[in-house]
Amino acid sequence: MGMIDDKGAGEIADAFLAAGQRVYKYLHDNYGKITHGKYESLDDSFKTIMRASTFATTEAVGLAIDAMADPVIEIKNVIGTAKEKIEELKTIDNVIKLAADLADLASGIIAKDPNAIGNAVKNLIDQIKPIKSN
Amino acid sequence: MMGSILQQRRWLLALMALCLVVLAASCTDLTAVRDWSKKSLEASQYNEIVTTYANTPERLKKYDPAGSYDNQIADRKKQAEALKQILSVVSDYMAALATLSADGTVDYSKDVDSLTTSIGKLNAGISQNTLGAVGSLVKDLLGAAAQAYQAKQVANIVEKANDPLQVILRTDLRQIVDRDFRRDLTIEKTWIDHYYDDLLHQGRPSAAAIEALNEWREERLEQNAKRVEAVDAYLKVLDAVANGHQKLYDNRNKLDAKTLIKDLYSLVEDLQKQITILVKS
Repeated sequence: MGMIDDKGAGEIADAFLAAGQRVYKYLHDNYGKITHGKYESLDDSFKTIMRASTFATTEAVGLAIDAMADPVIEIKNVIGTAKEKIEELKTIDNVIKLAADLADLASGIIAKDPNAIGNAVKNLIDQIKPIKSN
Repeated sequence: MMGSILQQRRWLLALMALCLVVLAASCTDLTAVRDWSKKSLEASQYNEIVTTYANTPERLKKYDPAGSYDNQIADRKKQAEALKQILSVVSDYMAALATLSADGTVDYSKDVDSLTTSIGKLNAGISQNTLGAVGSLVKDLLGAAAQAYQAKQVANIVEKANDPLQVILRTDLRQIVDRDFRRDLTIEKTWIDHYYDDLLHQGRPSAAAIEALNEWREERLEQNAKRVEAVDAYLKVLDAVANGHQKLYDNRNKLDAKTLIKDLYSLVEDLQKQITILVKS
């Protein structure tokens, strides 16, 4: 189909289908009213037109699939990122710092040391901030 | 002395309560995001309409035996594989989004339990009640931190995926289903009518033969109508997935906004309705 795009191929398929339907309606409405020869000739045209519509539909779908190549690659990349993030969440590495800060808080509580508790809470809040703003 | 310790404890409790409030404010309930993603994943897996499209030339051979459809049968088989791969990319994405927003993605309970056990072993004269309270607070803090991290990652993923996903769901794929698959079925319907008209015109069929042919035509047309219903239902699925994702994108910094949750659950209901139609068709 050369330089035609999926939309153009679709329009051609639509045009063939509309023409085919018109020929079919004429054949249906005029059966017995036109000569056998004319009927056969129109019937052959109907078949050719309808086959062309199916062919153009196949072409249109093929071109539309090609047009989706880039967005599909983009989504595949996002899926890769999502899977990495899921793995990150499943590993303890990204909460080691948090756990350390929490241990400091626990130690502060055990020692009943308001300064240590204050520092640990501050560290925890600092630790949460980048998570919230990343 | 006693008063000072009491004051210190009150101050400590107030500080920890404040800390929890700060963390609680950062928590985002991703349940609606997860439920919508799972339903979108389920709906996008009903891809029978692709097989229907691929098999159309094979069905047309029955109504047009003189036509040459072999090349198209081969082409459409390849196209169906490509389309199913594209749909599986959408499904994979929904699955990843559902997993990333699931409650059980992170569970630090065991780590916290071992931490409180270690603290207990320090023999610092701390009561079991206090130790239990510390463990509970630590779990809440870690849970809140993990949820905040999770919500941010979901927002990042939604942000990156929205543009390409909308291109596929609202333009290219939608166009194939709405325009090409629908036309394909209209072509088939026209051929069915032509085929049975042709049979009825041959010779002088008996009343019984006419009745039988009309029944067969009706049956074929009903099958065709069901396929059209499946196309309609699949279009609604594509629209519901595209709309839901757009709403996620628009609310990506507030994924538990009440209006978003309401919209997502409304879309989940729509998706379920379309799944029921797709299963029947």
